[in-house]
Amino acid sequence: MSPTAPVEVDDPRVEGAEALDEPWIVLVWNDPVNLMSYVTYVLQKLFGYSKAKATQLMLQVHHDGRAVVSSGSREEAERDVFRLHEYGLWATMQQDR
Amino acid sequence: MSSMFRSPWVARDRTGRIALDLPDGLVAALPRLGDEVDSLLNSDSPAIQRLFPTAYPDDPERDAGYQAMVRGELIDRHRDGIALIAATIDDEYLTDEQLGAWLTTVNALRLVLGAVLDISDDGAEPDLDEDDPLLPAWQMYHVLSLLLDDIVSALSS
Repeated sequence: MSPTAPVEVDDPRVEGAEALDEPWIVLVWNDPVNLMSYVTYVLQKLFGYSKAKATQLMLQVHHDGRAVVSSGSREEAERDVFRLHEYGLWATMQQDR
Repeated sequence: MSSMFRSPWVARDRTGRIALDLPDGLVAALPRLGDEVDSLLNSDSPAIQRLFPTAYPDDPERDAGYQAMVRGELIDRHRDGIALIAATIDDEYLTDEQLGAWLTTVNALRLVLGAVLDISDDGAEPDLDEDDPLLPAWQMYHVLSLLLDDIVSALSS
């Protein structure tokens, strides 16, 4: 933050510009078919989470219906969603606002 | 969880190799199921929709773009996995890489069976007669659950 008086600039919050800054989150949703052991393994394998962390996320999916498993730019989130889809997990992405 | 009453069908042995020891019925049935699912992959059968989840539930336009980009790649993955299982099902040992393909493919086959059986609640299971046409699919679904659990254990050990 500059201590001097702000310089007049055009308001950058034009339509859509603000939304670009919001990170995207990747959600995994509960589904009745995927095995708990499988979901835990996939979360460890794809994101390098510890077994404890992956188990905690899996249980959150199981009990709350969904859990945020990663976040980042749209490109990063889309790549993660694709990898989760390769493993058959029900994953979606949305902007975190 | 592994059963107390059977030895694992897939397990890492003491030398670190992954040994495959499937029951005969599964050796026959798994490639058959794979062929059946393979023949549906390019269709719009509801049975396979679960293999291509929505990425952007709030944005149909973006989702259509995503689907167009990934669908062919996902289909190729499933095809390759189904072919690999058929090619290695009689093998005594699998590599970790091969077992990784088994993992995702067996899971995909379970997802298709889950859709066909309309499984909607954790643990819910209908009381089926012996002559129910869905009985073989239920049996296969349960067998693949055991197999997948063994695969996860082997890959984690």
